[in-house]
Amino acid sequence: MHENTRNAGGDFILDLLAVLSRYYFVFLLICFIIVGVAYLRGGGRLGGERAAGRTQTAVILLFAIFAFAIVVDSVEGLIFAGFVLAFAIFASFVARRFYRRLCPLITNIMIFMLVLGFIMLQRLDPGLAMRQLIIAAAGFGVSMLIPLIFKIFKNFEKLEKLYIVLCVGLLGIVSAASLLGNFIDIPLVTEDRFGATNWISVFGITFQPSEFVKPIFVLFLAAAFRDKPRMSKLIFTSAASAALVLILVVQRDLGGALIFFTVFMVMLYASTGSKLLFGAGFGAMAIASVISYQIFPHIRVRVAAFLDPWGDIAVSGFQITQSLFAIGTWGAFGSGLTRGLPERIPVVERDVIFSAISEEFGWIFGLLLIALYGLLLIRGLQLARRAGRPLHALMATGFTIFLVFQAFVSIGGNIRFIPMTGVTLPFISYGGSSVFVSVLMVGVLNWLNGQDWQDGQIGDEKEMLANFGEDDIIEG
Amino acid sequence: MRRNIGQMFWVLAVIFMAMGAYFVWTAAVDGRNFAAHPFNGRVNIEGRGLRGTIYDARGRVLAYDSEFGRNYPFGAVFAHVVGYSGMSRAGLELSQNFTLTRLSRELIQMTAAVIFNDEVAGNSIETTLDADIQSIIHNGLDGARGAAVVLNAQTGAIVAMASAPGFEPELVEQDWGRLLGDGASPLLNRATQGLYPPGSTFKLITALAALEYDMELLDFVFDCTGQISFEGQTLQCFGGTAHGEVDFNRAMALSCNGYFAVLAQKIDAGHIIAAAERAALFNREIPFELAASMPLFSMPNEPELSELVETAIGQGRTLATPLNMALLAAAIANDGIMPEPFMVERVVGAFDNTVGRHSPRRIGRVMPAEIAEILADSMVDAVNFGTAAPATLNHVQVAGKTGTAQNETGIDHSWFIGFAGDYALAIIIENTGGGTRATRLAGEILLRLTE
Repeated sequence: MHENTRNAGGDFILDLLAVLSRYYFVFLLICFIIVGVAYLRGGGRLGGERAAGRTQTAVILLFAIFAFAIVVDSVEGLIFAGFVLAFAIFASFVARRFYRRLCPLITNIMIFMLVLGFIMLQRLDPGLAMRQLIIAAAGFGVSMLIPLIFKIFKNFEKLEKLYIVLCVGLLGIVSAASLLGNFIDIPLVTEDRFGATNWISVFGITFQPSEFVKPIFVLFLAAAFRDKPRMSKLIFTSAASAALVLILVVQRDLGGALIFFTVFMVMLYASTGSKLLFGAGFGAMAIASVISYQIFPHIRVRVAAFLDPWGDIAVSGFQITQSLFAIGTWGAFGSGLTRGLPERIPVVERDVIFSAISEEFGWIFGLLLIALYGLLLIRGLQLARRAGRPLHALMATGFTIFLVFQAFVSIGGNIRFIPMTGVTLPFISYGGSSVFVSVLMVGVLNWLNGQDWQDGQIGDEKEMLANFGEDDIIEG
Repeated sequence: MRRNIGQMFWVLAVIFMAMGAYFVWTAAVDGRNFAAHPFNGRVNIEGRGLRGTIYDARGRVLAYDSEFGRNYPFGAVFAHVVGYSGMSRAGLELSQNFTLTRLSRELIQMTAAVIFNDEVAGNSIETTLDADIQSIIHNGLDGARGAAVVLNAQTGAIVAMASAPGFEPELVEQDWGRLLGDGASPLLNRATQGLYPPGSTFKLITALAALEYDMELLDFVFDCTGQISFEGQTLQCFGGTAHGEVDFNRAMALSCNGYFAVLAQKIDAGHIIAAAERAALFNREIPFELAASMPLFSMPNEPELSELVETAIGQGRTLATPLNMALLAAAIANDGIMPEPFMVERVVGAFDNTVGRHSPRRIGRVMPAEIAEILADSMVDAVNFGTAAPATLNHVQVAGKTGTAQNETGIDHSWFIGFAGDYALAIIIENTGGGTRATRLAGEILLRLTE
């Protein structure tokens, strides 16, 4: 990328800017997190509802302006940067009017991560960046309709059966379509992408049904578990969920299977509090994993690449070792934006974006990014615990876990903490279906925040964080 | 329900924290171990400004950047080990490229460069190499094909490493076509990548395997008639010499083929395989800063008698590199503990600040100390009244083992591996037809190292 120049020129100053900016970016992210923590603790000069939101928005804009100054090298890029800034401002200031009580922390975390994603995509592949922005903006637009949708479908929790049919139908459609495609000629084509058969293309628009199944699955479980489930219902719900997970395994979406399973287990435990069921669930998964390991060769390949990536570094271990090189080469503050080689990692913009960020922003920044998902976890489950109705508590739990645990599976895979499964990093990775659905989920969390307000269950803001770990009187 | 969700929060919080801790460990600690891997494209990144300087152990410059490009004051002397850097790279210039191009205190250097229109400079490297010893070897190998490795037997610090024929590193690009076409492969670093039959130096492994199996085999005595027969084949001692009655030390000193052929039959092939893979790193990757070929050893667990005998005297399907044989000598010199070889002693930043310093590591204990002592003793005899006599020095006791390696060219290679004082070495000179040139060169090197 850079010539071996011996004299300081314009290019050199840009390089210096990239080197200098590493500290600035880490500083901004620390500011962002400090304000977030202050908000969680409630009140104070920093943590007030308005003050926290505005400070974080300012941080996001400062971050974006500097980063785009380094990344952008064309007029198109400049226009894109303008759109991104406009989107960030719009999302921060206009969206609140559509919700009864939008959570500024969750919204700002989402915006920050989206912006970080746009910056990385602009740096890695500008062609993808614009597409990602359009889909994110569309998702954001749709998410503003969520309060209206829930107003119309007041008794949406009664539609339990419909949800599971939709879930199985949407997931099954890929497998069915690939079978069907063998017999009749329709513009409905399934695609094998990145080793998984979980893409479908209808009239030229490609999407990943498993992403759209996520919110429906949460609605299904929340509806089923909103009253402590009886045995028959428990068995039916578990069997249906197991079927979904199995379909994902067969479609080779192992990361997806793990995420769906975890969401099920967490929501089950939230509802029943049964350690026996929780243990049994993991026992069943352990057995199923061993059996799947025996049956499916693609699982064995993944596990082998996880256990010894250096043994077959040129083929099966290539992606993970390239990812580790990206993380391990540059040190605490990274190479500086545009100065690393993240493009050496296969499918970097979709599955390995965390390593690309760690490479150029440094591992301190990467660690702070993990902490940011931690903030999302704290705030999301705080909403759940403060919810007035078990239904809402379960919905908040489900959506939060989907976002946060997916981040865990993605990052964990990138750094070889767990086997790499090729799931997207929510809000940041390139992926239309993923980013669309993730933004929608945040929309639902914001709506739930307003519901509590209405139901009058909200206590003192300052209690929020302190509440965790204590015993509570209200038992779902 | 609130309490249940709270409990789930802590479960997830714990796995997140575990992942965070693992991430920091991978990025900050483990990363140092794998960042220089050849599959890491970042190590070949083009640097900005001046490339770092490479020094020998006494501060003499081996490679530096000037306005004319990369300069190598010692010319061909360090060609293979320091390597070259231009359109392509080799040697330390290749493996340490990332270090040499990386800027220490980057922000300060770059700011200063902008303000003063100055140049930035990559990290420099202080090596363990000694230009005096390197020059002796370079001259000693002049006109021949061969290689030598000299190291500190305790620390693993490489003192010299040379390969012949060589090339002028400053002229590599200019000579590229000729160098590639040359049948003598001047670009090949024979010291780490040359694969040769070990010849009689392998008898040390056979002896080690026998003594590990049963210490009483030390008392084994054999009456050598100059040749022995087995399964209708005849094996001769070198030159057909009858050694008469030989005990363990005498057999090693005189390199009696018959003795080791019979000794090998007293133990299982498995013992020899195990000893070879452990004590001389056969079939194992050698951790080193330069690309090193894996020394190869192959023998079935239940071989034909002829194969067992040939392997025991170093003429089986065995291929050694000078590096792994030097490490064997180092392990014997170091009471059975093999050091890990290295050349980069210290990485120095542009402000004379220490960026990194090597701390010696061991490959491990590869043989019991008492057997190491017995082997050393027999190698002393080989120098004092045996085949390695040309390496004798007046002021210091040298221990050594010669080897004559038959090979497909028909003209034997000669080996010498041995040690004196703190230093161990291995030398091979190709196609000498059994001369003493390698052994004499070893004496010259050890003289300079120990005087």
